[in-house]
Amino acid sequence: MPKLNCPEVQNLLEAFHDNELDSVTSLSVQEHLDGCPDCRRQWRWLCEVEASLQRLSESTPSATRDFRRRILQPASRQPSAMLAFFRTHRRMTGVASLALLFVFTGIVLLTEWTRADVMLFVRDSVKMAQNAAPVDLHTSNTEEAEQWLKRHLGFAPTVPDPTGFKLLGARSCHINREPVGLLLFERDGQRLACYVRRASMTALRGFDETTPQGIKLGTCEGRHVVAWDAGDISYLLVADLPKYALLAVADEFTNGAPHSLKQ
Amino acid sequence: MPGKEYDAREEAILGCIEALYRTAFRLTGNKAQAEDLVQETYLRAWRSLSQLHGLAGVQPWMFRILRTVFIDQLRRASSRPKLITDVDKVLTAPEQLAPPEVSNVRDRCELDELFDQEIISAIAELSDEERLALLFQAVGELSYREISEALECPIGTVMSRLHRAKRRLRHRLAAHARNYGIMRTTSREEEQKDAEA
Repeated sequence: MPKLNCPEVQNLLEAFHDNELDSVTSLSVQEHLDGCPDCRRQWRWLCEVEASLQRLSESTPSATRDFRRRILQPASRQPSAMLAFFRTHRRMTGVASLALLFVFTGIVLLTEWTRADVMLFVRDSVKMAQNAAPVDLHTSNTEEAEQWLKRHLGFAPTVPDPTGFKLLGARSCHINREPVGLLLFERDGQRLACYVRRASMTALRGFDETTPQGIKLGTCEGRHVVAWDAGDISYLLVADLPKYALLAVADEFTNGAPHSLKQ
Repeated sequence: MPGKEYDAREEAILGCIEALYRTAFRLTGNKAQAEDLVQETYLRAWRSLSQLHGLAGVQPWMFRILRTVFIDQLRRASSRPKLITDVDKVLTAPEQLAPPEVSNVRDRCELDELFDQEIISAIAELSDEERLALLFQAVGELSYREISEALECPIGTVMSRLHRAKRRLRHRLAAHARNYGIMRTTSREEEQKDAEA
């Protein structure tokens, strides 16, 4: 058994008291204390301290019932519970996130795919100009054109009479799965196609500008296109006209003629 | 099953409230601050529950969080006065005398009360790490190994911190007893008698 000197023993007194020494060292400390009044005095002071700490611990108040309830309340652990769920179900969370990503991408792609482009109308108007898609009704009578559109589309816009333009006829067709009516005008050999439908034309892709009146303006395949919504009916004009001239016609449509829907 | 394991860990964590609160009370010295400290400890524990592996180390883990929160709060306050005294220089002499021996129960109670008040103020003057080690042991009832896990230091460091802390308390008690004139003077003969007994 190793002999310990006073400083060594005094350094070990706390561990000796707490039974944290191995049995050999513990015996050495005990033996030293038995024969050393100085260290024994230190030991007795330590016992006073330990007794006081014991009393301190015993007199320490417990947590109140109200406080315990607060700690147990789900609200106090809600953020962690959610995090904990994600952490515990990592694989499931990963799969769910991937599925959500696919669904989101699908929705975006589908929306883009179903969103028609002004190009469809421009190409249709070019076909009209080349007589590849002739009008169904040949008439210069606006009232007759209105009645005909009402029969074929279920609604009839008031057919305007833009200055200098002569009505050639009307046609009904489907563009991008939407029923559309067409009124074809002509002025000095220049043709003006006026498309009408219930779904908004201003939501189409391909417009670059918007006028203060809310008229959308775009250019596609060398032709200018304007569109506007008037109540529950929407208009789109395509013509091989300068931008300002087409806007002037659109202005005449919007201000000069009422666009109320005739059922 | 992960869910069941989670429930068991939550249960184990909730089982530490009492020890944590009592330790927090002695660390802060008042009920309101102790509740804040423990509440913040639990918030952090819920957030990092997944870092807890197994149920064996729950208590040291919770005390480690308590210590982190406590140190953070001290840093935020940063105005706590430090009253570190050089005990080796100032208070060596009182321990040359033995503690008083009081046989009367009433006198003993008064003496205990006197000592307890002195111990409370002496604990408040310890360094933060010494205070944490001491209160984790005395009030939290952690073993040396658990304290070393909670304070993230080797067991040897825990032993030396506890030794330094308790030595300061011994000196304080001895000096206090001397100042109150309740010290017992012992002669060499008496000491010999003590030894023989």
